[in-house]
Amino acid sequence: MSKKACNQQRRHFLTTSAKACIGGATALAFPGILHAVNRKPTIRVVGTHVTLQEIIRKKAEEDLGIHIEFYPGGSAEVLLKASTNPDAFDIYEQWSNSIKVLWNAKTIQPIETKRLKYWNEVNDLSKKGKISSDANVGYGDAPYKMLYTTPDRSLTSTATDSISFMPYVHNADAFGYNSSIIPKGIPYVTESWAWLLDERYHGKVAIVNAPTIGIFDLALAVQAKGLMSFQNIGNMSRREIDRLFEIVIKLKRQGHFRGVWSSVPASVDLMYSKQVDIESMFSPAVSMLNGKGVPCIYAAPKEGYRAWHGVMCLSSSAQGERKDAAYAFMNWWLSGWAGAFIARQGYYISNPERAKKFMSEAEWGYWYMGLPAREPLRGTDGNISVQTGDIRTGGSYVKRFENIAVWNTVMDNYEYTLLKWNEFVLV
Amino acid sequence: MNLSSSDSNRLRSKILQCLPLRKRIAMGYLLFTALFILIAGLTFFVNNNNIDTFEDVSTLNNQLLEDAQFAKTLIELELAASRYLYEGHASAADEVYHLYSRLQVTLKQRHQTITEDPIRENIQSITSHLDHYMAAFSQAQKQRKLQNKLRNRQLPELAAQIKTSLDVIVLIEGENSLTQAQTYQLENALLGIEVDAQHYFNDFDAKHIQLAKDNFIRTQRLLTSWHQPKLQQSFEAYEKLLLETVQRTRGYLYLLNVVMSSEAYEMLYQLDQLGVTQKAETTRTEAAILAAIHGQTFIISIATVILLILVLLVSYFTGASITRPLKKLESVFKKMSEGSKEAVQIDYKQDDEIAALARAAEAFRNQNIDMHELLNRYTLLNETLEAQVLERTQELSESQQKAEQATKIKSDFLMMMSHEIRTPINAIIGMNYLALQTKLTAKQHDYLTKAHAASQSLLAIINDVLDISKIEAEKMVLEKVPFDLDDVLADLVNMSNFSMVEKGLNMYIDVQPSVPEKIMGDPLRLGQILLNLLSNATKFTDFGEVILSIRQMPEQKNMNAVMLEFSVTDTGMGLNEAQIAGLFESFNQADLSTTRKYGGTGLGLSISKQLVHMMHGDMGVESTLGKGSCFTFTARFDLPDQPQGNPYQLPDVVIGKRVLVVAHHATLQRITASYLKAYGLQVDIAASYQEAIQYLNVDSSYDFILMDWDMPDIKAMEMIEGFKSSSQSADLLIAAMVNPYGHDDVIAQAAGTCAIVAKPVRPCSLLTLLSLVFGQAVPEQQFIGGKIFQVDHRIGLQGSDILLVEDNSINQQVAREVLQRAGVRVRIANHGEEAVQMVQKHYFDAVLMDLQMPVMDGYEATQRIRKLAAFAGLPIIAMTAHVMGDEREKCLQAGMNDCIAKPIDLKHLFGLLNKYIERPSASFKREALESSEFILNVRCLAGFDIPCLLERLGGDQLLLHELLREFFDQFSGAEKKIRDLLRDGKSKLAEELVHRLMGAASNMSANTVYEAAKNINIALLDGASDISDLLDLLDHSLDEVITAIANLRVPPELV
Repeated sequence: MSKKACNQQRRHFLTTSAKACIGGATALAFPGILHAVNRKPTIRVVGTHVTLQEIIRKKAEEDLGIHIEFYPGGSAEVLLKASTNPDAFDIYEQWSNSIKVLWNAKTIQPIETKRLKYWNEVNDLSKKGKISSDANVGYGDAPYKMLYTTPDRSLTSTATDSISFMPYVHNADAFGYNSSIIPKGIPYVTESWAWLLDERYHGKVAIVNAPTIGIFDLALAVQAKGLMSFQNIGNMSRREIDRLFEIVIKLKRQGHFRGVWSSVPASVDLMYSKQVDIESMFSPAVSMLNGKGVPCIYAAPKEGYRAWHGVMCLSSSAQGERKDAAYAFMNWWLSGWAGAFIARQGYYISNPERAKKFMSEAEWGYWYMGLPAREPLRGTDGNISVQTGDIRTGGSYVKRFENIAVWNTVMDNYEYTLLKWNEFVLV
Repeated sequence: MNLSSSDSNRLRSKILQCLPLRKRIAMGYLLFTALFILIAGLTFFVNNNNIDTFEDVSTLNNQLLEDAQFAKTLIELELAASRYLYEGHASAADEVYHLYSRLQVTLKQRHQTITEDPIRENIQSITSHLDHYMAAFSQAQKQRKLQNKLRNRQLPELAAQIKTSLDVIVLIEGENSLTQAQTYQLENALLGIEVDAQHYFNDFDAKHIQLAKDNFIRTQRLLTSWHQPKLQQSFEAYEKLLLETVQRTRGYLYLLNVVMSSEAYEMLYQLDQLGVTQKAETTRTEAAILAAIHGQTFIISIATVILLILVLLVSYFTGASITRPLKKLESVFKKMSEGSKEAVQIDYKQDDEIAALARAAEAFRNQNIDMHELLNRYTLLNETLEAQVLERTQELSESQQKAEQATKIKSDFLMMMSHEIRTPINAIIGMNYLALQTKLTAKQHDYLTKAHAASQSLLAIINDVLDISKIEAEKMVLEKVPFDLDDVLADLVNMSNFSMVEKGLNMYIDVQPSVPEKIMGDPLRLGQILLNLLSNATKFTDFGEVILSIRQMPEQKNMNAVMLEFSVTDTGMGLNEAQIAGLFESFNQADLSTTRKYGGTGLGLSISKQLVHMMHGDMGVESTLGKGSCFTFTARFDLPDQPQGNPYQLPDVVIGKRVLVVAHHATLQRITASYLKAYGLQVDIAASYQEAIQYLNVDSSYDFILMDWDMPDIKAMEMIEGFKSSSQSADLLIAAMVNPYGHDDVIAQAAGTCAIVAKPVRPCSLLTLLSLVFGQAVPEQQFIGGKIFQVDHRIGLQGSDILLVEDNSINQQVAREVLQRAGVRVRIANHGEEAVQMVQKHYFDAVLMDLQMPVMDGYEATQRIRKLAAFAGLPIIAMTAHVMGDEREKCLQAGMNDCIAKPIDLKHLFGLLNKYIERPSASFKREALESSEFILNVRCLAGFDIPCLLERLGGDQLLLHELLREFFDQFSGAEKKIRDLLRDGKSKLAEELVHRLMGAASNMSANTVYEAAKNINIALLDGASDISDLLDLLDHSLDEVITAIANLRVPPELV
């Protein structure tokens, strides 16, 4: 066990024992108090299962001494909730592609960077769109483009002292495949989005059921296969959308796709039950499958990744004590522990150096540096998901984010893609 | 049944005895009825079972129907949902919920009734997707209402408010007022926004909203410049409401197109999977039902059989219980009518019909008592008579014992006699042999030949008598030594094949591949039995074939022993049943006339059968008169300790080689093919030359051809030519199977065959052939037994020294001369003591030791010699008239190396001497000879009388070759030398050379050369001056002889 982990454990022990002492003292000092009104501030967090995890909630409550309520839900559901009713939440956690909607709906308020304790540590990927000088910005709405707010309520990439969202969790996604059936490819060389349309995997392919995400998987696949190309894959024209769906609907009619999946557990189940061999995938699903003994590989496509960026937004209704608690929660998120926690399911945090302090050297090496694992590593579920010697596909954090093909984006023709998506799903 | 049948019978009859006959009959009928009811019950039960299984089927069918119904309802639900969501029919929403509750009920029922896992999972999955779908639907319903409210009420109301305030603002005086033109502009903007929104709600194209947004921005700018904060707020509220409506629309669309559609798809997918699973389940159930029906049918059949048996048993016992007392009564009356007294006692307790009869009988008995008294007297008389009979029987058995003893004495006598007779016969045969080697007139030769044959027959008879006597006197002991089965076969072929070939019979040897090569037993006796059967077969077969087959009997209990079955099948005259019956008895051939016609003692089969019994086997014959006989016997042999692999295992190269067998006779085809296949070759068979050519034309990949030399209708030479010309490959290998007694082998060699195999073909011969053909070095021991032609062991004995210890002077003479002819130096000792002295004085390679001698016998002499350290390794071979069993053991115990039977078989003697005398150079040559099957067999050569010469050489081909070569070396060009010598005046030398040539030609049966040389010799002795004519004659005849020898191609490995 590394020294850091030791410290971490010791600290956890000290905290709990200190609390126990206080509890004991309270009971002795005020034996007459039977009931007390809870005076701690409460914040309500609306978001998805990706970050709204019970362990995180408990840890944050413990560290911050506040009450936190999590309201996890499906992407569309929470977006609707957040874009229509700012009173229903204090903090909203979702993807950067929901920012425009929320901002236009005026249900979120600007966040003051001076109140963010670790703002200086947030890296260039989130602030300037490039993790290094060699990196691709990628098509679509790169988060930095709508990071800063102006007094006239528009979004810009030019730095100001207020932001529309606090950038935190992010990742570069691709498809996953079962290497016991599909021969292992070479990252960035042979692995390609075109595999999703490969006839050899007929009937064994699934796509994520989300037009703002899945459409890019399909588009990247069709483009990689050489069936069509896009002027701007991040903002397709209606004609391009027509052509794209013409191709994939034809394929689906022929039985190429097993179907679509709507949740991470569903995607795990599809591959675990051998219904699919290759599918759009999120990083935790890969860890879960590996933990269950399915040799699922998260591909590093030569065409680049489909990236996403988690955003944490402040409800326009949050004021006073609640707003303070919300800021505290945001600062807590960047204070290291949470970054280290979500690293274990393959996600990155926007200020990695602080999270590093909460990770073993082996974990840091594997998850961020692209080095072979020096020891077996556990996922967030406690199962060993990384064996000694494993190397994260796609390499280091920097390497992966240098290869961005497109960001998850709500395109101008979003409504149109919904109608087309319906056809694709039901055919 | 646990009771033994007699016990149960007794029990049954006791029970039954208690009932009167009428009741017993009634009971029988009752039992029958009960059994039939049982059958009916069982049938009913089975039918009931079948009904159950059919219910299973119908349940399954119902489930399938339900599934179809379910799918229909589901689709109806989705249609209703669409009708509501897209067209807004309120009733459709109600229908959705109605259908949903129906589906829920169905799903719940199915989930409870289904036990099969995959179907359960399907149902669960459908249930969960349906729930999600409905959750999304109800949310969509809510959204739809909200959206409608926004679109149709709130937005228009807000727009109307703004319009109203615009109308009002024109009327207001002051700085907040707007001109008419300004309000028009704002109204237009508002109208534009409303139109854009309407467009958006029609086609969901976001560009309309963008236009509206631009419009809002422009309007806001105007309002700012016109200082209209109130209106600004109104427009702002309108924009916010519009955007909320847009967002709700988006959410609504998302619910419909993404969430609900994916759930709907998954439900249909799972329904499809359910169909697949159900179908598999149906197939499985159907199979199970079929199996069940089969099982039940089986049970009914078995039950019926059992019941039938029960019915039979019941009828038997019921019947018996009625008939038994009747029978008893019957016997009582019968005995009474015969006047027996004690039989009237009838033990019958029941008061039934039978009892009444019994009482009547009792009365009858009383009247007959007087009669019985009379009878008693007679009985007494009878007993006296019986005692007398017993006495007689005892006397008889005593005399039988005496007779048996007499037989034994007779056998002992015969045995002794045979021994005694053998010694003089030995002398007769030996002397006769020597006499035949001398120069004789034709008449003398004929007499002696006949005498020789007669004495051989006599010896055979004596041997048979000796054997049968030994067996009867129980003095026959079988040997148990390891031996090669093939050696026995080779000897058999040597001894019996010639006479078969002479009669025009084909002999075949068919050995099953699994028969072990090395076994333990008595090879001589085995050979004796087989030879007897083969010579019988030869005797009684005039045309056709004789097959000797050997196979291993299955199911060997003992791992260390094998039971072999030997059979000799012929196509001869056959035997009728009467002949077969007496066939194996002593002194009995098929009939006496046969004995006269074919000779022999008729003891052979009897001896063979008894020997076979001693080998733990049995002998039998099957025969069809006029068609042939098959003599079969079995014999058990132990296996040698060292494990033996398959003796016919060839290296892998041979496996898969392709061979074309060309043979006309079906038996030859079959046997040859089975051997070759056992070695792993691929075999094709052509029955004629034409067929073979067809094979070769179709397929050129044969590795070699194995052809029978004697094909009907075509000469072998022509066949070989044909094969060579039709084959694409220049080096097609052809091997020929040839009868060894002509000069076919020479011709075959000349015709370019790669190898020649002698017929009958043995497994070993083919093994050697394959090894030679495919150039594979084969371990030496696999070659042994490969000898087909007789090999003269005299080669290699030349120059060796042997001590002959023998008291009988005739025997001394025979042995000495025989040995000296083989180039052996012989010294003679008259008894054992002399022998012990002589071995210390002279060097000997081996000692031949007689056993019974005056002064000191052979055993003691051997023991003394062995005590001298220098002679521990000196080979000593016993010569005895008693080689069988214990005699041999005694010899070996005394320290002798081996023993040989008298009269001495020369081949055996030379073989033994060669075995024990170590002469490396000679033995190498012998080895080469033994290992070769392919000695050039010379039967005819221009200028020589080869048959006569061979007879003198004992048929030794190798010796013949050596002599021919020597003759060639010495006398080629002799005629020219004679001329030269005469021309040079060296007449003495010329005379010498002519003399030598004359002698050699005489020895070699080169008769014309001999005549020519003799004439020259006479002429020279007469001092004739001109002998050129005679020299020309000699030139001519010598040239013929020398050319013939030169043309004789000697196989290189023999040079």
